[in-house]
Amino acid sequence: MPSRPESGATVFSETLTVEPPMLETLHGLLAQVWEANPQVGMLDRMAFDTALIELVGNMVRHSPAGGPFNCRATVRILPDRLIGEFEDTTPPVIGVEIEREMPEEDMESGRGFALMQSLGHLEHQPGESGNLWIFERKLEG
Amino acid sequence: MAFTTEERGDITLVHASGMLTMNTAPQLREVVSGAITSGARKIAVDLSGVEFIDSSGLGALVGSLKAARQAEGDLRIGGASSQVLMVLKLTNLDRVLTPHESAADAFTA
Repeated sequence: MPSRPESGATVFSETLTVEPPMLETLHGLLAQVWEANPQVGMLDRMAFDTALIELVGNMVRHSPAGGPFNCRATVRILPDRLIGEFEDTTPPVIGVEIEREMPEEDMESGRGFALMQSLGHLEHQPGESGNLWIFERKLEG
Repeated sequence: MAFTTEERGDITLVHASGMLTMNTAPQLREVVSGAITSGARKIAVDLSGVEFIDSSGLGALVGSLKAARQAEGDLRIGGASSQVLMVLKLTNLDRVLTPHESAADAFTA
């Protein structure tokens, strides 16, 4: 289970509107994060980008909010891992199974959570006050 | 995200650029479906301009491949970036969508 890291590791934290165009916005924001943190290797950047953008896509898809909603997005870079957190105040997302097997090759959907889990550890904490999604990847270099 | 098509002999090249995500995946399905309706049977998707793909984009490629095969044609891909190659491998889709060096050579290589 991901632990809350020390505060000094936060490199990015701001409120974003979760809606389809946010995928492109987040991609651009992460590019800025990597520009400012060149010590993070290309494979880890690519994996982290892939997981976080996939996660936001699934937040859009599964949200009971029925439209755009705000979330607090935080990215932390630690010496041995990367952490992305998305916290919202929408009704809790329920009935979503995040531990999934990779679908067969001829399936056209259902790969998102399996892909995220193959890139790191994903956790979803639904609560009365909203949802907290945490993705953590151990650095490979 | 932009898609353009180009005829090269009996091959229809579909050039894609930008991010292939849930926002743009439906466009790829439409472009390929339109090409099949117009008679295309050998479709090569040029991914050299695609900087990022998500699972929706992968789903669109799988759906387009199935549509091409249902029309007794085929769909191949080429020019994939490192990120696209990574997700193809992690999802095992490289077994059915073999990445070719170049889309233009996908039916000859």
